[in-house]
Amino acid sequence: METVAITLDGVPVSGRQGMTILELAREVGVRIPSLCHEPSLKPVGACRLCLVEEEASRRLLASCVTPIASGMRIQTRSPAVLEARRVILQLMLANHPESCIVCDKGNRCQLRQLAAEAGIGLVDYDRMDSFVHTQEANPFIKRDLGKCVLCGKCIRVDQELVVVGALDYFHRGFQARPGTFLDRPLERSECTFCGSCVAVCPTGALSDSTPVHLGTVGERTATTCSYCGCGCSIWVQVCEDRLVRVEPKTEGSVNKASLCVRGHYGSGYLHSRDRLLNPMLRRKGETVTVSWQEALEETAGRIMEIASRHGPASVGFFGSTQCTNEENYLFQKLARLGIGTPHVDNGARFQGVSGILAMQEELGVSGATHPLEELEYAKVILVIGAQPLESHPVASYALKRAVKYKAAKLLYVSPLEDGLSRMAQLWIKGWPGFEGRILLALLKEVILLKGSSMPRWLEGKELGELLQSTLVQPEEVEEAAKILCSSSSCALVFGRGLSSAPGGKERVRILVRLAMELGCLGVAGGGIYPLDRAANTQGACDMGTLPEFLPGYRPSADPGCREELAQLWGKLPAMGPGMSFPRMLEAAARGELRALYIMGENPLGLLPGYAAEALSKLEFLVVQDIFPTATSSMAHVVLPAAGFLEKEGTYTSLERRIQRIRPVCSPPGGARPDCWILSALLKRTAELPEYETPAEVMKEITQCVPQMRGVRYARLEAEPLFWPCTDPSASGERILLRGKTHEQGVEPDLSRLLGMEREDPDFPFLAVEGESLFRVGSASRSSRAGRLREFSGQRLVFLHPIDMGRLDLEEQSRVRLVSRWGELSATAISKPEIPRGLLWVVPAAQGRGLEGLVSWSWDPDSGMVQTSQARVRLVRGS
Amino acid sequence: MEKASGSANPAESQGNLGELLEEAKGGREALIPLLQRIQERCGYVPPEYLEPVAKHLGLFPSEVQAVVSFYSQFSLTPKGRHIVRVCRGTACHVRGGKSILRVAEENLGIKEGQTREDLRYSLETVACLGTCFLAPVMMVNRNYYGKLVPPQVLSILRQYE
Repeated sequence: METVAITLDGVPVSGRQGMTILELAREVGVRIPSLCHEPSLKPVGACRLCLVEEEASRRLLASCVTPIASGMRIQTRSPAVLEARRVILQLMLANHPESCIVCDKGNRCQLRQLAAEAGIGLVDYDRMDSFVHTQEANPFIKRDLGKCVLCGKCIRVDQELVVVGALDYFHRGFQARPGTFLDRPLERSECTFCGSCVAVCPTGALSDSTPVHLGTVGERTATTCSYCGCGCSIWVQVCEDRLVRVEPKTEGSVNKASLCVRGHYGSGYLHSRDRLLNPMLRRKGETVTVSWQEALEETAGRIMEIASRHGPASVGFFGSTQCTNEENYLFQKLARLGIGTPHVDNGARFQGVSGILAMQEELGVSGATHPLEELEYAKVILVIGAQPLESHPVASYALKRAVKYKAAKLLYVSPLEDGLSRMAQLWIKGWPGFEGRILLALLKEVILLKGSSMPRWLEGKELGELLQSTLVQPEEVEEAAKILCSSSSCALVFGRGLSSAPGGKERVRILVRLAMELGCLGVAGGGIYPLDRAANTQGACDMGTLPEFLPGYRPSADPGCREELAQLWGKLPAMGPGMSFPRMLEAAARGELRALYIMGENPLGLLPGYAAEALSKLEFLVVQDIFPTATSSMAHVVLPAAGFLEKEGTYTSLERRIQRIRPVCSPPGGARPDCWILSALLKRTAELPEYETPAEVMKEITQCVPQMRGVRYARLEAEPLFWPCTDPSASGERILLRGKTHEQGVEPDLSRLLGMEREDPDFPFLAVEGESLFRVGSASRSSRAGRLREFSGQRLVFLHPIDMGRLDLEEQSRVRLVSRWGELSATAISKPEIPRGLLWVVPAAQGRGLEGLVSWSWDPDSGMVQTSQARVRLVRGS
Repeated sequence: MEKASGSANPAESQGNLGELLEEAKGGREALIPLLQRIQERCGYVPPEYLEPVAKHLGLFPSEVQAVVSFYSQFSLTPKGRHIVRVCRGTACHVRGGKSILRVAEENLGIKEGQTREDLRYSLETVACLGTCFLAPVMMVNRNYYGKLVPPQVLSILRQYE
């Protein structure tokens, strides 16, 4: 890289070719004010406050858009610069409302800060107020455009980073302002309320419309968002021990200056009045509040008593994708060492476990093979069985940036029209549930195009036969295969629609095979991205909170691996493999499993009625959670836990990025961090000394999880680490499987893919649960996040207008989805692009999903319970 | 008298859009020429065209709207058959351009920037028409009227049906 030497305020400095004066100044610590500059956006030179003077020509240059040139002599604080800056600020203030005292931006307002620095008080110019009505009909963003300084940051963040296009300049001159299409209010525009514009707005023009708590914030703390598996870094601001605001953390983060509506506005649930405050026991049918001492004695005592009476295998443990690595590690240690049972599983069983298991088996890598930022270098992106816009918004932003600004070709396989289908080079409208067959057809076509040898199990299978009932035409697959083969920088993205449905593990295996065939593993811009994971699904599985694996994906049945763990633990862990959660429930129903410990999950909110029956047979149920749930109402002991802003630990995102979460407020009442609870129970069961801090737990994790050997808390302070990070000096490998050669793996079991959905004349519709931006999991959190709940109060069902007409339904009329096992009401919305006979159900921030409409059935291959699809009939009225 | 613009009926010109889109190739750079053709064909840019135009060129609808609302040559509302432009440049100002505008507004019954309900006239102001030697100046469609005195305005406007 060529270096360019310039003089800045008389001091010689040097920077890289192509750098702007402003960038260099910030790098060497010279402060130049600016209202429109944001490092993750393209500079535009809108505000002119970053003017500097070039000594030779005496010209004033906007430093944010002027590249450095050799020999330049720049003054950042010359009299001419200071005077120009003063005038610009005064002109801005001349049409800025004098309402600072009631403005939510208050002391955070950058315009006010700069004016104060420049010593500007009252402005001498005639005021030219621009009166614009404040818009705040939605619970997220308040627009008070009279305060807009036209820096264009909201427009640029919306278009360049989030790629929604809800905003652009509207009109010109004095009338100019950021406007939506046709000047509609935000709630009727394309806006997704990600709030990224609010975070970058330098003035009070954009602010939070319903703050969770008002207060002047002194400092902010960096932590990690707890919703989806993207692992966004956030700044959290707290006042009087209450959350005031969440903002994106730009530096070194996956999300840059963006977040999504959940990350930005969804954490208010922590202050809900529903929080569990004290340990509780059920005694003779009555629930009583007890001390921690008593609750812990009861928990440890009863479980040990049952284990000694019926054997340790009569106890099961179910960990959480919301809990940290440290907590999940301790949880499985409590199970395998403290009690000696192999039956330990976690909430991944409801989401991404089949993806994790299949990728681990096929590739030896359970997480994304590439970091999410690599998506932006992809030339072709296949999205199948996923709704990234709803489930993993920040990943979808990267994906959209690749398509919109870097000309990547998008292949979108989805029955639903959305922002991605509109950007797609090819949109394949497949019937949901048949993604496996579509993948198989794609694989076959790619093998033909590449001229490689056809595996025996694909021989003689015609495209038409493979695509039977999928609604996809062979020509579409042929075209898709051509696009896929056009570049090896080919990213394959899948979500819950692929992995969570029956045969999910087999489908992911086919996807891996497709990746190998395309040669996109280990290649820049290639890779497999599993968008089916929550905040710490990856970490919970890495920690061995799985019946199949010990920490670090070492088979729990392997004597060598158990022996190695025994050297660290001083005792052999229980012999695996243990039972997956559905098996545990069935064992409970048969009376074989007698005690169950559930941490941070609400299985009754996600599973059909059978689960409640099974749990009711238990002798002893412990539920550790932050809220009362359907599951905790059946518990014999309820342990109140701390939320993600109230404890310390690490999360591992789906891209294998290990990041800290930090305590910023204290847990309410007697609630305690899960680590503390588990450590206390380990002391009581295994007579281990208590762990002082989560950092101590991490030290132990690094000794038994090879991928994380180099991870240290101190290192995580400075930067995120990617696993595998085996060396305490390296920051971990980002792109895995370099040099991965094509392998013929195990023959897939096609019967799992080709199985047909049985038609049922009494229940002619197939209802499919889609993803929603405003809801996650069983909704225990999103239903208590006031703003999410206010905005997304109704369950929606999308269906074809002809189906609407046949049932004589009007737009937005109430309907009931009735299955053999239950019913659910929803608001009907017509969607012309949706296939007939399909009901696409979008759950609300609160309320149940489709689990009440299905019977108890699970996939023996992955151990995942089928709850995302139901055969139903549609009835008018609620 | 020549007509300033084409049909102002969007329903009538809806069929034209497909044709115009066919001709427009490329991305952002094709936007302004396309909008100019639409404006020429319809007399304005019908708001219902913005989304199809955006889709065709791979832009956000808000981006297209930003361009349309920035340039004064584009209008999102139907324009009158005759466009009256009164010069508000410096030369015209010192020679009484302000009165010319006032008289035009009174005679037409609309303010600057507005269009008459009968779609006969639209009244606009411009910063300079480049004919300062004729100040004060007014333009109707493509015809210049210079060295005006207020009483002339009405008789000029009357010529345009």
